[in-house]
Parts: sequence; structure tokens; C-alpha cells
Amino acid sequence: MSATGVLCARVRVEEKQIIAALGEAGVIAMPVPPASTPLPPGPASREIAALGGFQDATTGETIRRELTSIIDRCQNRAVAAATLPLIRAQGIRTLDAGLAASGNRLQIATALAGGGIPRPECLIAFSEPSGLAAADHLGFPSTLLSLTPGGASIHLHDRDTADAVIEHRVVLGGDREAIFLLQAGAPAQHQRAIVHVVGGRAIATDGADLGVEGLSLAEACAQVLEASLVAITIATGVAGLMVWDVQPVGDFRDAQLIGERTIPAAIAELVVSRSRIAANGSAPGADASQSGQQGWKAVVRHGLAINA
Amino acid sequence: MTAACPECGADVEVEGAEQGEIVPCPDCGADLEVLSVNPAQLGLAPEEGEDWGE
Repeated sequence: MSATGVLCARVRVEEKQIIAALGEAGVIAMPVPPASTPLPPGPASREIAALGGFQDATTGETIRRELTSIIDRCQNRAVAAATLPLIRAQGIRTLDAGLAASGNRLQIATALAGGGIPRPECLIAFSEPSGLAAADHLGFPSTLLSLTPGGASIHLHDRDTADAVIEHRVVLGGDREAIFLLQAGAPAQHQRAIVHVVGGRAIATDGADLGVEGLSLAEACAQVLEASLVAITIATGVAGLMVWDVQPVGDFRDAQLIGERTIPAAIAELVVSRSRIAANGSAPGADASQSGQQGWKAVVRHGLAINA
Repeated sequence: MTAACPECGADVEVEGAEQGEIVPCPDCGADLEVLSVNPAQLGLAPEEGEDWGE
């Protein structure tokens, strides 16, 4: 019997809500922690690609389930970026942030620029001199962003701050810290909002009121990234609305709904509709009869059943 | 005495814990810092490591 996995090392409020919504939609769902056992590169047979298993809460019996889809809620983006392509290669559908799920901020910025999405002026720096040159070119304040999507950003309010921050990263950090993006401006809290997009539609926002134009911009951004679910940070300013950043895994517990659908409900609907498409228009199948049977108490493993 | 885990919302027992103590959430496993004992309040424990000014 098949199931939907939620890729996450820790089941937080958001993941609990997603699993509950999937259950209400008749989909068996279970958390799948990032790989604790090795995965092979390239495609593998479905027989050995059964990643999930759980212990039935009532019988204690360990049940293996073939995962037909996985929802990316992994906080560790380096792990997710390595894991998701392998999961896809095994024929498992992934609901994720598309390019933002496995690409870096430079790839995201490049794709959005190519897609005509309004963005702040942005430069990538590879060293201390190029970082300071970029900061001088963009002016102050500006914002330093690491290459990892979803990573924290640093506002550079003046040249002294830029000098200290960039020198710190380049001298004491590794390659991951030495290469970074600089964006013109540093929007304050009231000048930005996060738009949660599921299945191409803006479902909820967190922050400043953006209006229809801002929501449409977030949806267009998600389309360029080919993202099933993604959180887009939109900044407002004198230059108008622009996509400031993209978060592959958004925290939505405090988000304000745009319509009546919650984000977990929208994700569950997307899972069900994609299952139907994959089954050539048939209903979700046996999973539908398992509504309310999410009584797992532990995920057994995530990896290959090489000897199965 | 319990407090809500800020990560997963589970009730975490903090009876006998002291302010500043780090306790694990039994549900999600997050390390939590006891921010106050009266009223009981928990926050995510700060992670060790270089923050690169972030």
C-alpha cells in the first residue's frame, strides 16, 4: 500500500498540520527523516525504493509502505538538495520548491532574472575585494545573502559593517561563506511579506499587505521556479514590488489566509490531484479507505531495502 | 507544570527545571531553553557554532 512522505528531520507544528490534512483527505502520510541510510545515484527499481515504514500504533506491527510522493519540509537544505534528486530518480513524485529546492540562491536569482521577475539589483562576490566592491557599487544599506536558500541574511548599513562582515566570512569561513550575494537595499519588517504559494496559487501571507499585484508576483515567481510549494518574500519600496528572496520551506503557523483554504489543506489537495493525474484520472485508490489510520508512532527507517 | 514546545506545540514537562536549563522536547526532539519558570515558557535553545554575523 502506498503512502505520502513528509521529508523532515523534526516534526514541527507545520509538519503535524500537513500530515493531519493529508489524513483528512484520505492519504496515508508519514514523516520521512532525511536519509540515515545510503541512496544510490540514478534510477532504482520501485521494489528497492520503498523508503518508508512505520509501526502500527494499535497492533505494534511494522508495516512497509511504498512512497509514491514526498513533500519537502526538510530544514537542512544541503541534505534536501542532495536527497530530492535521488528521490525523483527513483520515480517518487516530489512536492517541493522546484529550482529553489535543490539550487542555490545564485541559480534562483539567475532563473528569476531570465523569467522577467522584478528583483533588486544583485551582485555575486567571490572574495573580500569583490564583496567590498559590490557593496560600494550597490550602496548602503545593502543585504548579504549566503548561497544556501532559506539561509539568514545580513543587513549591511554602512561600509564599516560591510568590511567587518565580509572580512570575517572570507578569512575565517570556508568556500560556502566566501561566496555570497549582495542585494541593494535592506527592507524593514513592514516593507516585506512572505507569500506561501501552493500548486501555483497564493494561499497565505505573513507580513505587509501586498494586494493582488504582490500575490500575482509571488505566483509568477513560483511558476518560473516550477515550485509546487514555496514561500516567496516580496519587498515593497519606491521601486515597486519585487521578489526579495525565496524560502524552500516556509514556516506558516502564523500566516494569514487569503481565502478559506489552509496551507496544509491546499497541500493535501495537491497531493490528491497529482495522484489522480498519475493514475490517469482514477481516484486516489486504496489510500482513500485508510483515512484516519495515521496511527504511526515511529518512522522505522529511510533508505534502501537492499535485501528486501 | 508544562509548557508548549515552540517547535511542535507538544506539552513539555518543566517541573523542577531552572531558568536557562536546556530540556529536550519528547515529541520532536528539539533542544529547548527554559526562558522562565513562572509562568513556564520555553524557547528554542541557541545553536552552537559560527553565525557569520547572521
